[in-house]
Amino acid sequence: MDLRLIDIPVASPAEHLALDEALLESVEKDGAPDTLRIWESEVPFVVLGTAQRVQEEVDTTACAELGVPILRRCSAGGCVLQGPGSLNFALSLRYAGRRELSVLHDSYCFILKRLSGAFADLGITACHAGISDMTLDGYKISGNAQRRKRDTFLHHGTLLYALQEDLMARCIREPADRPAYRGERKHIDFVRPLPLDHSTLRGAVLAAFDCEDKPQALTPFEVSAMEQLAATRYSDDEWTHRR
Amino acid sequence: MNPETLKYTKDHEWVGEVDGLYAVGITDHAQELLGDITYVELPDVGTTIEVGEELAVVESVKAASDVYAPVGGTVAAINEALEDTPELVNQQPYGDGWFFKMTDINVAEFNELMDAAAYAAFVATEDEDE
Repeated sequence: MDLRLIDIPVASPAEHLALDEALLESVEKDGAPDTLRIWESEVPFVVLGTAQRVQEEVDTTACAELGVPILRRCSAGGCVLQGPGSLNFALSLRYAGRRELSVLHDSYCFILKRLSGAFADLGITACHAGISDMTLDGYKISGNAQRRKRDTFLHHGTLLYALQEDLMARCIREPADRPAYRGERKHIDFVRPLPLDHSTLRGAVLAAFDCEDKPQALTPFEVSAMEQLAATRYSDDEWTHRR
Repeated sequence: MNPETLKYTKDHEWVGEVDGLYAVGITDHAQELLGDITYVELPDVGTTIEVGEELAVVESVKAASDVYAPVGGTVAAINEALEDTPELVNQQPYGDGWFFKMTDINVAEFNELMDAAAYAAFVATEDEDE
């Protein structure tokens, strides 16, 4: 894959979510090349999928007590605790007639197969499980979701390499919808960190997508879109609490 | 709605006239590709929009996909049943799974949409290309 790499420090949870969407818009509408962004939040925050109901997914009282912000992203999928130990990769890719990208299920298979191949090179046997999870020995190590536009899609993935066990247990409610492989396990008995450090994991993601380790600067369009989205949608309680 | 009498876009949406309004939904082919639909975000009634602009979002298996205005016009009604039963889009894409109805549409844009035969050929071509 011929990918541009974006790996820049970002100030806030709202800017992290805004930049992912800004990059999608940039590839879709402003002619930017296919892009891989890698990021990790320095502070914990809870992020909901675009259609989830806040009260069903999040203990808002605990979040307030612990000072953990709640945000809502633009892609689908489940509720996630972000923060140290959760490395994110965000691909903004054109379909460009590639069935492995244009067909939803095929795209999950394609992307997760490349990741599992990179992990195999490190001696780690990770598997695609459920709709869009990755597992190691039956434990979830990665969750993935997408936002799809006419010509381009955004694929978000989290890769755990350390757990914030207490925050996870207190902030995120146990979900009603569970993949079959999860069974009745609680969050804390269902997820497991990869046995890799940040640097090695980052390298594996780059290797998975044949992406050269040469981070690029954002375009003016992307800076403007990120700032605008961070100041509006991703700082807007009405957006976060719309369901 | 009878799929044979509808008009279609390359974004896999259909449009059909009902009692002077123009109902819009996604095609059977689109819902099959998306899988189980879990949520549909609909526009506000009264929204005026240009052809091709983002007007709704449909969420399926961990993907939220944009739905585009097939023609310019104004949203006159939305399918409120989808709030609690989004699976109607899978079950009856040309019936109770409609998304919204438009009025004051751009008739020239409507007339330029594909008919059922042209859409079937378009889908076949798309499958071949991929």
